[in-house]
Amino acid sequence: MTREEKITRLQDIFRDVLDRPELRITENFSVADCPEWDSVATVQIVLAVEAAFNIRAPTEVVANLRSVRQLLELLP
Amino acid sequence: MTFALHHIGYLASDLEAAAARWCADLGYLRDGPVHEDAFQTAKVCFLRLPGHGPRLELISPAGKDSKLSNALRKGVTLHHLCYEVPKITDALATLRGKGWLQLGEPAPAVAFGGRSIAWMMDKHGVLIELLQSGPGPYQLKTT
Repeated sequence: MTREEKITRLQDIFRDVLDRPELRITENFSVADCPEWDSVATVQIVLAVEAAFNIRAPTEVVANLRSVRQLLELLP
Repeated sequence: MTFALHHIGYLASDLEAAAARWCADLGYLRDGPVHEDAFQTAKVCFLRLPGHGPRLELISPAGKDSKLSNALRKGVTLHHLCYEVPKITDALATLRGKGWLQLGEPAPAVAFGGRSIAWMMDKHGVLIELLQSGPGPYQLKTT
């Protein structure tokens, strides 16, 4: 899967969790760009990413997650 | 793995006003002092109904930079359920395998005399606290 394909899949997850079907994200997208991205959304995003990509996010990553770039670094 | 409901966490901006209301309206009794936990950025106190049952934990932000301030601004009041467990690391692993996310490493809690607590949340946004069983204040079976 290319980086662009990963971002597209992440974008689907963000749209669903944040309830923003028009949302477009890049790897620079961060909590600062989106007031709906709060601590609860972070948990929902991480759990959805884990299920979609069959990965397990380390606890320290969850605690400090602020950007799409950090999520991309978790993906195989 | 057994999970015993220890308390229900209720978020309030004014701890004393909230305690007074729960005591006056529902007959709760104060149970211990107010504890301030810098790591959790919270002040807490416990209430309980006469006789039995899980406690009510009232929580308020300790300072304007508290992690809890944002939740209060969003109108959150019922905040979490706390379960006492025999071994917190085992409980974390069990729930992690069932789709719960761990929100940081276990840490000693001031209110519980240093017993460890840890936080987990599921995909629905349900927040639970895990409390290591053992000696210390606020035992489950007190009279």
